[in-house]
Amino acid sequence: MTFNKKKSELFWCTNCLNNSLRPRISFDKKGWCNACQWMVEKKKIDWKKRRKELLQIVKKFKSNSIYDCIVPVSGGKDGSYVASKIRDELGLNPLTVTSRPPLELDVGKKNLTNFLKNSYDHVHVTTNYKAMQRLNKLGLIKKGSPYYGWLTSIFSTVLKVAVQHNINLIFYGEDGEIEYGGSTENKNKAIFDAKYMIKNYFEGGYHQILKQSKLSSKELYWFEFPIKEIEKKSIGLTHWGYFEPWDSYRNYLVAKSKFNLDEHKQNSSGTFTNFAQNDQSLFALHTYLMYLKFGFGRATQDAGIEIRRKAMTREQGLNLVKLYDNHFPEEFIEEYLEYFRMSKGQFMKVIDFWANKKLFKKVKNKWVPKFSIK
Amino acid sequence: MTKRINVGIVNYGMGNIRSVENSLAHLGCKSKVISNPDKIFSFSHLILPGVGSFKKAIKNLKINGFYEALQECANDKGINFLGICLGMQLMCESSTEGGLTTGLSLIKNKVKPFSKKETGNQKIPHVGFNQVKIENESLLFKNIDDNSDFYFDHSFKVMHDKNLKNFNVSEYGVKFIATFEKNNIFGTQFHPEKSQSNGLTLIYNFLNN
Amino acid sequence: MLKKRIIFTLLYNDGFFMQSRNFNLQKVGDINWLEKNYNFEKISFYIDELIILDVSRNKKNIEKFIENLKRVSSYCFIPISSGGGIDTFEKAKKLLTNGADKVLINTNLKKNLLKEISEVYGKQSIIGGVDYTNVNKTKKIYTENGTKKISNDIRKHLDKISKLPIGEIYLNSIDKDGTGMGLDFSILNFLPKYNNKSIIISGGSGNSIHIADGLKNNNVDAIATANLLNFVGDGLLKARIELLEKNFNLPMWNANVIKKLKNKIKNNKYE
Repeated sequence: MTFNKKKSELFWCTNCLNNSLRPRISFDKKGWCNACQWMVEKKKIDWKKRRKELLQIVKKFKSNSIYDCIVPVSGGKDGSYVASKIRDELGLNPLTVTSRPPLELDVGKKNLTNFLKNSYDHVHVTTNYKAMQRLNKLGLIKKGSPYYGWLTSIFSTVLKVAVQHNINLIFYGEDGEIEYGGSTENKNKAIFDAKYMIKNYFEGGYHQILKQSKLSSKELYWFEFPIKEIEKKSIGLTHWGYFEPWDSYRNYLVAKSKFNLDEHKQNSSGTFTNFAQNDQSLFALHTYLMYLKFGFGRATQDAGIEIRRKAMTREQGLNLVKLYDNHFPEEFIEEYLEYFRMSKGQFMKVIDFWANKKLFKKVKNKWVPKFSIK
Repeated sequence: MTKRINVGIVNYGMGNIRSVENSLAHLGCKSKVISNPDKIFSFSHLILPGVGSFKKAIKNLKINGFYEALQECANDKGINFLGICLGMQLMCESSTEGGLTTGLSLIKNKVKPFSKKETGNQKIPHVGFNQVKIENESLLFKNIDDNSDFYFDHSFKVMHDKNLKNFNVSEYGVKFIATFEKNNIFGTQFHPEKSQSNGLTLIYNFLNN
Repeated sequence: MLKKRIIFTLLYNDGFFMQSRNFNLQKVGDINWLEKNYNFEKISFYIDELIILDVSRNKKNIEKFIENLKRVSSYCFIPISSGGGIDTFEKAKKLLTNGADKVLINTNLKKNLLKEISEVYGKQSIIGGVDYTNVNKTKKIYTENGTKKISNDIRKHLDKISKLPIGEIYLNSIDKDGTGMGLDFSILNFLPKYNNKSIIISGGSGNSIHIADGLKNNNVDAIATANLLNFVGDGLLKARIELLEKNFNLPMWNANVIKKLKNKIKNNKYE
């Protein structure tokens, strides 16, 4: 149930702090965003039925591989949780896959190592450095998406590994669109196809970027989606969040006790938590650009999660968003400049380009919101 | 009305001197912590804090030479004198805490412990915020509402005495004396320095006397 | 009528104030951050008691801790408790003469130390701390910032503590700590029937509803929360107002009065 709004009208969910500019988000009559509506719907879902569906799907997509499925992991709480549910609760044999991110953080590396100590088979794909760097840089400049290359790779490498090992089923964690705000297209779909993924996660322009990169097909090997093979073999892509109510805080508690999940010793950049997205430092830049483009940052996302699980009220969340959302990741600047091979001037020019001037104005060389959250 | 206010806080090794200093500082009032009675008569106001045992307190007051000096301040010199918590109890005639001990005897009242029977089986010590019922008009309570909250933390209480006319009460299973006023001598069983707005107002009233 | 209390616990670690989640610490900010975002001069009106604990995981620097204790206590006109690694009378005395009215002792909750302290300061100046986790239908007790298990028998432990010369017991759930999932009330079933110490319950409060649930419980005298992030800004103020509106039995303060009284004597005084 959505109501019509002007495309550029800025308003906020009356339950959490998601704003209307978030791509593909929808709201109901009482002003609740689709993530908050889903929070209520989740309680009414027949999860037992969905669990039966899960077993059928596993059967359907079984191949002659020794692995039942692939679980993409990063070492963080979500992938680790899903892998453990699939292996230890369902008794299946998952192959875990990671696409190594650029600018890895020590906490993340440690977490992956600790996770793997639990004897999961693992394929660690390190894509061509030049290709990754170039695609990320193009993403930064052309799309305001500084790890565009890596985002692509977490899907392309997984699919490539699936094809190589003849595994037909891939379990992602959650559908971020449904859980955090966005398209609800696949709310009642257990299996989705690669085309959906490409549409939502890349908002078009994927092929253009590959072209602009002037990289050879050899260099882009791991970045290309094996679409023909997928459709031929019928590889099922699914979300664990379809079969069990997704609860990222629960995942965090389980990962802490089961896998010794380590956390930052202080707030992660741009938020009040310290236990999520700890695998690489570009996430901070990604969320800062997201803030400048759409007016919501990492703290807003984290506050939404806290509000929906009833740990805090919207007002409490708002205090945290005011405190942490607008955080320029200066602690990583030197690293970014070196990685992207840009001068500070060039880099800041790109940042400035992506700032939505309707939402922000520059005050003393810093982007400051013109809006105040209601 | 302008007048010279000069506050001395008696330090005899027992009591949270710093909290009293902080509340006076908030009010903009300078104070001096005194560890001996040398210039005690020069103060316009004296505060006797106190936490701990009555017996030990009296012993300390005697060792430091405060015992007689405080009596003189109160009875002869007319210095404004506020006793807080144990400090108020010390102003009494005696207490049974740690064995029957004679106090400063500024008022004839005696100090006895709460009994489980009296408190109706509520926990002892009486600790927390409780209301004070104003039964007699006291300058301490100017601009303070009836039944305002104050912080208590004690196991012993001041018993009634027919000679003490101006007192106010609190209730913890049984009514007991929460404050008293007798000429220039004042006592609060609760900690005004720990009682937010109500306590600060009371201290202000005491200083403005 | 004795009121219930809302206590705010500040967790101090080597110069910074922390958010704790199941006893894992996240550095949030130093005392300047605290004053800016908590504005204790303003918001301490919305709590009834403050506890400042030195939970430093590395060697504790008591002098540095005391600087922070003194500074925070200078503008809080409520009872202040402090603790963290108190193992001698001297350490307790140091805290009690630098802003604390009470000391919280957990690891060294032993008869001899308690006797020494209570003989000078009274047993009401001591809070006994108990950190525990849930295990099946019972609890495990830990000391040393949740690292050392000392007992599997919670009932026996609480029975022992109830007989010590202390005034209050601070029950803290490690499982619920920082989760914002609400308090653990099951611990109250393990208290001895004759218990006469005030009970402070802590661990898991994220919002005013959790606090309200705690205040409703007859066996609880005070709720403590250490959730530095959830209550930042006007969080404590709003929580307090909500609870008073729902007629919870809390003390009533007037923040404006405290403001008005600032320097009032100085401005009247003849120098």
